[in-house]
Amino acid sequence: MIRSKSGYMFLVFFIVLFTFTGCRDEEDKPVETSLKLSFRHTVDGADLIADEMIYTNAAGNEYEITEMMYFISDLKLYHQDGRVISPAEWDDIHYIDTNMPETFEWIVGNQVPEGNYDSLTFTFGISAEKNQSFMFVNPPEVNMAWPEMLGGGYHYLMMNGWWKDLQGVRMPMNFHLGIGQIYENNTGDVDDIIGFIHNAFTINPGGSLFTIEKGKTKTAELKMDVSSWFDTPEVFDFNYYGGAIMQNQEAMHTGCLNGRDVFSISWN
Amino acid sequence: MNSNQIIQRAIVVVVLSLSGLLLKGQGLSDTLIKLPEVTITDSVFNRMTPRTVIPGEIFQKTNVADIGDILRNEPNISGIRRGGYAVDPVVRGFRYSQLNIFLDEGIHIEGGCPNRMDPVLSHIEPEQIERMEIMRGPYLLQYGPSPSSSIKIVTRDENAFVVRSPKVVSVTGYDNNRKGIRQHLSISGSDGTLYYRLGGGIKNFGNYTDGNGKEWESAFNKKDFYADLGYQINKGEAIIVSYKGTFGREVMYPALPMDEIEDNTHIFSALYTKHDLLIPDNNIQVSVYRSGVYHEMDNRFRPQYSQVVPPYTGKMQAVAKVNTSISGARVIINRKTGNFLINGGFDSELARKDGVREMKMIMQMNGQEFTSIKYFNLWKDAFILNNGLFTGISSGNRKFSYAASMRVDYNYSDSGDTLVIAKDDITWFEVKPAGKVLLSLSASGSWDINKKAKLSLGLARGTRAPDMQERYIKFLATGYDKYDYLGNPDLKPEINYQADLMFNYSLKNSRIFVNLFRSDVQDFITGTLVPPSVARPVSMGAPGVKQFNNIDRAVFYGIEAGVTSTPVENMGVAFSAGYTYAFFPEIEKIILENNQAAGTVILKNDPIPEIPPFEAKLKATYLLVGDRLKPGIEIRAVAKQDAVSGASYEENSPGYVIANLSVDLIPYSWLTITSGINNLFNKAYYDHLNRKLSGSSGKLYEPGRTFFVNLLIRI
Repeated sequence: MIRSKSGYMFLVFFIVLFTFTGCRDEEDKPVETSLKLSFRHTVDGADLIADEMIYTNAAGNEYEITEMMYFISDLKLYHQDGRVISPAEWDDIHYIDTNMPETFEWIVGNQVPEGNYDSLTFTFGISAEKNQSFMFVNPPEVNMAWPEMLGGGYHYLMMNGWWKDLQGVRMPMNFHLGIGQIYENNTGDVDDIIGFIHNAFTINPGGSLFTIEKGKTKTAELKMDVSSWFDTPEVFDFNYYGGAIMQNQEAMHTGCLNGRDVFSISWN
Repeated sequence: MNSNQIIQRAIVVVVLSLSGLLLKGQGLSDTLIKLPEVTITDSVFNRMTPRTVIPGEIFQKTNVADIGDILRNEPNISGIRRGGYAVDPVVRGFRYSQLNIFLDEGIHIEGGCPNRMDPVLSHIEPEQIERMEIMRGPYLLQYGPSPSSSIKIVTRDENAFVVRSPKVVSVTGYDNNRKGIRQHLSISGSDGTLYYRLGGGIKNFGNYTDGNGKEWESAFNKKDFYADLGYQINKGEAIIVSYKGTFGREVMYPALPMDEIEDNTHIFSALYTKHDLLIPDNNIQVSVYRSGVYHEMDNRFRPQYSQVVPPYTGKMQAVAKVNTSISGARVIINRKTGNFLINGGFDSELARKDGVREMKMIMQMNGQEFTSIKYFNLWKDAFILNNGLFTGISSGNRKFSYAASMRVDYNYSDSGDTLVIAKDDITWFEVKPAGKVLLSLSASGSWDINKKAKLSLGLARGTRAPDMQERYIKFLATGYDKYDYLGNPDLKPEINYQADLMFNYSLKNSRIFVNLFRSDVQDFITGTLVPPSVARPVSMGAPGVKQFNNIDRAVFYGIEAGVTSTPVENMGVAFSAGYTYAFFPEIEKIILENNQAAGTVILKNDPIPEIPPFEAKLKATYLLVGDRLKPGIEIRAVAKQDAVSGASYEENSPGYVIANLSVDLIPYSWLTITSGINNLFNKAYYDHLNRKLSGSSGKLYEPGRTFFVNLLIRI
């Protein structure tokens, strides 16, 4: 029992000092203006069917796709007022993997300036300045590593599957794009490498003008026509280039030329 | 009834049982009180600041080879377990450099490992300890900035020059769970002018098994050697020089991505003392020291080092080597003037850190093997120079006593880092020399209300500068959440405004203490998420990068309470409990969907991550056979932790109750045999602060049932 004034003073002090604070509470921030992109993979307009030898490319090669992994980066939006907006404030490199449907959506940004836009562009793969070895250390992205002695960094694209050669033999397809090598004597031997070529390229998927409204989420679907990797403007023939091309700059260059029109966009 | 209810009921039963014992004890007639040994170990809050003293014998008799693990027995002290060794202490929710941990007259050690495999306490072996003092709160200012709590480890014999023949102490221990042995031997003596002490030991512990029968890769090997040599110049002057070396090899950390391969610590120190023979309170201490640590770690014992472990498609190898050192000097002058004790002095410390990590990826592609190697600086010639001035005064009479102290530091830091991380005109990391003035103040007073009751109040402002890790670390998983952490050279000092209210009450055969505290921390330093577009993780398994930043305000409050009693003759009972609740009044949470930022929300009063839950402990002992046999039982009950951080996506952890048995047998005055069983019922459990197993979301479990025996010989 407290018998003195001092005792009461200490009690009051104690109550004031150690008064418990309220429970956790959430306070929403103002609704954000965001942009989301979703990815879809098709062959000649129909959804890609994996693990079936049902496709034929422009060169007449029968092929099947088992999986496809790739990066896109450096998304840019072209505002009608002339500004070029880079909306991806969180992550400007996005990984897409046909084995992982959760990668089919990219939350590009949450603070995108409102207004009317003419178009968007992005880099297929990773630009030379950003494509650094050991940038990713965890699966799945780490498994896209491109050997240091072949130029380092990461694959732009890994498209794996099978194709049939002229004798009808089922051959492995490793349609891999990344940093190319210049071989002094065209030996394909790593000791023969005298330089590297960054093959990442910019894609404008076309599409109509679009408007981003304040406080709303704008969504679009980016559709990749897989067969387009093998035609327009060059016909890609596996019988000529072979199934594994990561040490064949000519083949990768052809693939990159063809890749410029593999995507189309539709706004929702 | 679920497990939580069982635990809650168990706690209630424990508390009620204790109440019964106490009531019984209070009813005893006036007899000589023989306080059992547990009263010493439980807590000594007999001064006006919340201080606990642990005698060295506790460290010799326990089967636990790790000081941090032993400290978890104290109320409101928890620890972070990453492996079988080097539990990192957490006092009232504060950790790392928020705690001022030092040896003797203020020797500091900078651990080498950025993953904190080697926290400060891991560089000292328990058998070297004469006494440990834990000061909860920023009240002890003469040994460096003390932001939240201090842990002083006394390793020197404070009566070194008392004439005595050579004294030999041997500690031998066996732990059946870990198949662990330890042997420690020391010899000391003095002829009144010369003093010497030599000692050393080995520890060889294997993996431990938890209550589920799962074996954890937690083995460790340690060796230590130390030597003190003293010379008493005259009756009032003496000098002691000391060396301490500890050497760790192949210390496994299943909750970290690498293991410690080699860790070498060397501490050299010298202490000169002079005191007035007539007024011993008038004295001066001058000390110098240098502590150095070499730390090497890699993942050679992990599967991904030598084989492809899905989902990886290549072998991943990593090695890191770090060198650290602290050199320091301190002068302390104490003087008695009338009824006042005044002290003052200055100190200077230079901490250095430098380290490199090598990453190697070995891939098979198109039938060829490709190896990619990259080197990263962890620290690059980083240093912190801290110069401080301090002073204090204390006085008192029969009714009141009081003390006040002040400390001013100038803290200067720089690093040889050339890394610059900038994006969109925002610079996230760029090293520049930084100087900061730190002001710390403390005042405490106590009032002896009557012969039984005492009330004390402490108020303090503790300031700390950001540490080496918080300023300069580059991409290593140093926190609880597996994120890679990035230093921030622009951090502001963290300031803790703390109040403690302490109440002590003594009965004829019991003593009660209650400590209440509240800390209001300004510019609290913690990790906040960095967008991948700015920085990506470098450590395997790290989901992203966090950078150390100042949060405007964090609040901690809590309680420690306990009772020691002798309810019946020869029986000792001690009960203690501790709890801390900590929260951010306001913090931003990033809403993540598939590891992408889907928005943000402001959380009010969100709990701070990694705060230990409520914990209570009851220990009872009984003296038999003329005090030669002392059986004891200990029950530890820990509540579930559901006050978890929403902003950090922290997960709840369940509570548990464990029981330990022990018996002290003293067949001869020179021999003490302590044996017992820890975790008697082989409970499978983990502490809230235990780290997650590397590469999984499951926590690292504590050891299961453990039989141990210790032989303490003092000749």
